[in-house]
Amino acid sequence: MTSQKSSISTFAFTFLNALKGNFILPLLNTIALIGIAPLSCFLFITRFKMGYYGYVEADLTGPGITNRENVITDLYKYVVFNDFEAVFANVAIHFLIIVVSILLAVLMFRFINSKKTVNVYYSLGITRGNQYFARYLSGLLMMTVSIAIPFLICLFINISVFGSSKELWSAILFYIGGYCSLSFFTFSLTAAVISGVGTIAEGIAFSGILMLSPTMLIFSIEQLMKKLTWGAPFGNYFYYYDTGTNSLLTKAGFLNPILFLFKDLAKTGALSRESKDLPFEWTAPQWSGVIIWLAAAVIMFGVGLSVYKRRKAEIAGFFGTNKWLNFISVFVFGFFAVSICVNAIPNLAIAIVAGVAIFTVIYALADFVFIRNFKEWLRGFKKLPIHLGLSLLIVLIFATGLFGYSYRIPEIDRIESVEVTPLTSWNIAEPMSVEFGNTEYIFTFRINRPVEGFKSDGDLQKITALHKKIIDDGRLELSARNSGLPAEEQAVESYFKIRYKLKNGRELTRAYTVLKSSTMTQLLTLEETDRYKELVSQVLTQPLSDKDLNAILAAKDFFQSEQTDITFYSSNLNKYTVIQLSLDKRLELLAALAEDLQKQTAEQRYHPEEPALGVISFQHKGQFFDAFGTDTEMRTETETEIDTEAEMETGAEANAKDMAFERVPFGYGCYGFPITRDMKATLEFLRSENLLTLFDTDDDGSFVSARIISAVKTSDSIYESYDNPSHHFVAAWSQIDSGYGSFSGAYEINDKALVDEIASNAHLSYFSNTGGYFIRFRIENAGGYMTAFVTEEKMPESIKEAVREHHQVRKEPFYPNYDY
Amino acid sequence: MVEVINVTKKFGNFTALSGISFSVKKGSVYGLVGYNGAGKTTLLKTAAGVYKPEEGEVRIHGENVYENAKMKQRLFYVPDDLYFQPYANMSKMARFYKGYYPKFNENTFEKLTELFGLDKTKRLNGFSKGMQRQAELVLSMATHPEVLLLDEIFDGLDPAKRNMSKKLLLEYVSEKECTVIISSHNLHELGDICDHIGLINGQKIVLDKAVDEISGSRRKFRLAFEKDMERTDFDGIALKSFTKDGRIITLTAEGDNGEVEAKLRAMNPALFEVFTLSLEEIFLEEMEGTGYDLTKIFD
Repeated sequence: MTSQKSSISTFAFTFLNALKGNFILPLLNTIALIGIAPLSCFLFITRFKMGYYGYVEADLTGPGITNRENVITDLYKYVVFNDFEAVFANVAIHFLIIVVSILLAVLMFRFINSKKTVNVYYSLGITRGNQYFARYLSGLLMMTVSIAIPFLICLFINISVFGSSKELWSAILFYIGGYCSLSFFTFSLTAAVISGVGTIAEGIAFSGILMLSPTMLIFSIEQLMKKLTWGAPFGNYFYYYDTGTNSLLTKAGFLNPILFLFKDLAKTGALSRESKDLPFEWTAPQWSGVIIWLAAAVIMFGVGLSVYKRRKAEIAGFFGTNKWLNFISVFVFGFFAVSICVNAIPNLAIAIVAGVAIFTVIYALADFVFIRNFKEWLRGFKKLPIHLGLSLLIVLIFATGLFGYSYRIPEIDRIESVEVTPLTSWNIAEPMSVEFGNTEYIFTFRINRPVEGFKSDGDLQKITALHKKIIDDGRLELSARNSGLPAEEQAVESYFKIRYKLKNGRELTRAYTVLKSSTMTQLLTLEETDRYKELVSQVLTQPLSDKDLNAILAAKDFFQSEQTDITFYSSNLNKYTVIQLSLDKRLELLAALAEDLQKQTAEQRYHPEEPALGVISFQHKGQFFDAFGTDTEMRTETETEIDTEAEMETGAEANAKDMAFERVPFGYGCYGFPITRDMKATLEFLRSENLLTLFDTDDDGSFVSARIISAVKTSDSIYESYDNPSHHFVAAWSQIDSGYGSFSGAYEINDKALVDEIASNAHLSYFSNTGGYFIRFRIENAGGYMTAFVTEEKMPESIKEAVREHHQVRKEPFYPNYDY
Repeated sequence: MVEVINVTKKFGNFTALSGISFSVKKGSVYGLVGYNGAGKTTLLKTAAGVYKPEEGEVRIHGENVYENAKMKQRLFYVPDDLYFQPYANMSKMARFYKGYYPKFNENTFEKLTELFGLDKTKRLNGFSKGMQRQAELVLSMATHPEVLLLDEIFDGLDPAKRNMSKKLLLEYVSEKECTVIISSHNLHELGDICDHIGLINGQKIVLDKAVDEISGSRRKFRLAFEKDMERTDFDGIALKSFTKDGRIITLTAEGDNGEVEAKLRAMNPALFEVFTLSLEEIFLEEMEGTGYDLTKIFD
């Protein structure tokens, strides 16, 4: 037998032997995957046809639907996982494939971790390289078959229901290719690890740690960036819109073997459309991530092969022999601990000391487990400074601005457009998203949706100048409650995010959670930009168009459609009137509002000299929201009867039922415009239509008492620990003295003259970064309660003094349910 | 021919073998002897290509054995600590080895299995220690190797099987001119089967001779003198061992036996007796350390 022939023969024998001896695990994997993929696919199709998802009945009344049986084929081109199941299924399959790939590699190469087996296998007539390669190929083949079979079954199910299509084949191939790349990399990594360690336990543990280490390291870096690298958006999840751009794990997903596939797989689960008349909108899956990780698997194979060939047989059975893996594992966990400490402990020096201490403990414990010899263990401490030094160096790099990261502003000629997260909810293009103003959470508001599309030179100049101002303010620490600083000098918690979309396709994003109060005032001038004016004009005055994006279309419809009520609120919110306007008059009102909004400065809007005359609020007719923003149409059956009746009544009567409890003209399904004296066009319209009197309070609508609490200093503008920082106060009215005791125990005045004086300066809408007072007025004759805002300047000195004395000094953020 | 050329093997800071060199001719049976932990198994594993030496190499028929697949197909290593695949029986192991040894002979396998009275369908892990050794010997010889490396092969075998194994080995060596290296503590057995002995002590081969040469190569002298004699009185002789019991002196010496005898006779002993040392005595003489007075241990 020639050398080459015998070489091929022993290779083939090793390959087949490995297949025979280790097929059980991949077989179990196949069975499990069949239970997830084809079964899910089959059940969805079956349930859909049975009307489980409600589509069938609903779509019988819709356009373009032929008959009941064809609904699914009308609406779907293929389905492997429907939207809802896609995430869970992908998580489950990911987990399964990673675990099985690790275990299979352990089984395939376990022989090198036992002294007994090593004696036999290393003395056999086959080179180490061939031995490794044959087993490796065998493992890959088994995993490929194991993954492919379930998805091929899905393919056949889909073909039988929907017929063959390139989209279906593309999806199935992507699932198979994607999961295979995940499996190959995991298997290759584990094989490489096993080749470099002495025991199976280490092989499994280190493989798991190495698979997890990108996640841990990226998370650690995110923690450091969040705390140390000023301007870094990562780790700040103030709104679910932010999870994409503010998550370093998501952004760096392509670097992570566990996460690289998720995003693309989630989009591939099914292809559907709203109705038969619409086309299927399909985008081919992105294979770049799959190819990259397949290449990584090949590289890892090379690493493993090299390690295996150089492996010393004598390490079999011995623990802790691989110093590199020991080092990496300890470092990953230790660095993770340091990053958590840095992020969690406010004082950086203490945080570093704590992090170093925890790292040392981790090191000591891990090293003792690896070495199990006291003297050697003590000697091993000489490596600890390397770990700590490396960690602290990384901390230092982030703390010193990350090589200019914190100071970078792109040049205007490189910017395509900008998106900002404004400090208020003025985004007129998304009127239904306004979620603020509530008698219980009166002081707190959610982070606002980003506004995109700032493109003009003027806007870019303005935004970059504002950004520079923020940078020039320097890294800020929150001002203490009683810092004694003037309001505009205080550093307050806030949230402002800028996302530059550059002409080269890249993006540069910065987010700031502490701003100088004076800078916040300047940021309000974003509402004086071309983009703001453009949006106002577009939404309020331009007719609906096919060319509009869905959001703009919805916003236009909201304001312009007769399906939206227009409610006038008096200045004390006690009186409200739902008016009926013809479409022309409605458009005239909107044009007037648009004209005023475009002329109005930020100062006039958010720091007006005088309180608003009243509020004009837009709200979908018949759509009622309770105090928590819940669509009341989703209530129980008994309540539905009542709602149905309400819908049949006039708008005014219907509104009356739900407005009995509280009125929130600015939020939860409403979009309210506080009407101030500078809004000349609107006032002229109202005068001409004799509507101005609707802002007048009733004779029995005056205030009889006022409970006053300080908006404290601007640094305490956050009143709820779990809500998001904002400073835009808006008024609300409630029938009863509701709320979480926000005003219970507050300083109260019953002197009518004084109450009236305060009321004359009480704002319905104000940006409270300059400090002031929140007032809860009681309206005479059980007229309810209204909450408003009075500035520091307009509050009588005697009241200021009294409130100060009345307040206890507290050191923690104030909670509304915290009694004075 | 097996050549061990200046092999040094270390485990971390510990040196197991240092510059070991010896060669074993084709068709020779070489016995490797040493105390526990001397490095016999290490040397065999290095020769089998399991360990890679830090220095030196092992050559078989002129080729370095490490990572030499072709050469290893002609070599079989039977370790001290036997391994069989889980739930394997002899048939399964035979199929396994057949995949790696092109010369595996089914006929030899069947006959040897029958000869030893082993059930090839029963699980090997259910065999006794001795039976497992027999099974491994059967499998090794069924591969028709040109080189056999046997680590404590007779350990656990009953006298009958031991005898049979020795005869088989000798027969195989004679027929196939196989080169065999056996490690053992049992010098009697090695003396029966080996034609060469290598003694490992202190990381080195301290003795490497043909058995014929060793036997009779060293003599023990029992002397008595009229006057009281001490060790220093024998300074002109390279003493290996020296014990004194009253006037009776028992000693061994290095060097030519004739010359040593002549020197001793020249000292006019009253009593002069000569004995030939057995292999075991030679081994013990080489391996014993400083020697100590056992009577003092329990004081």
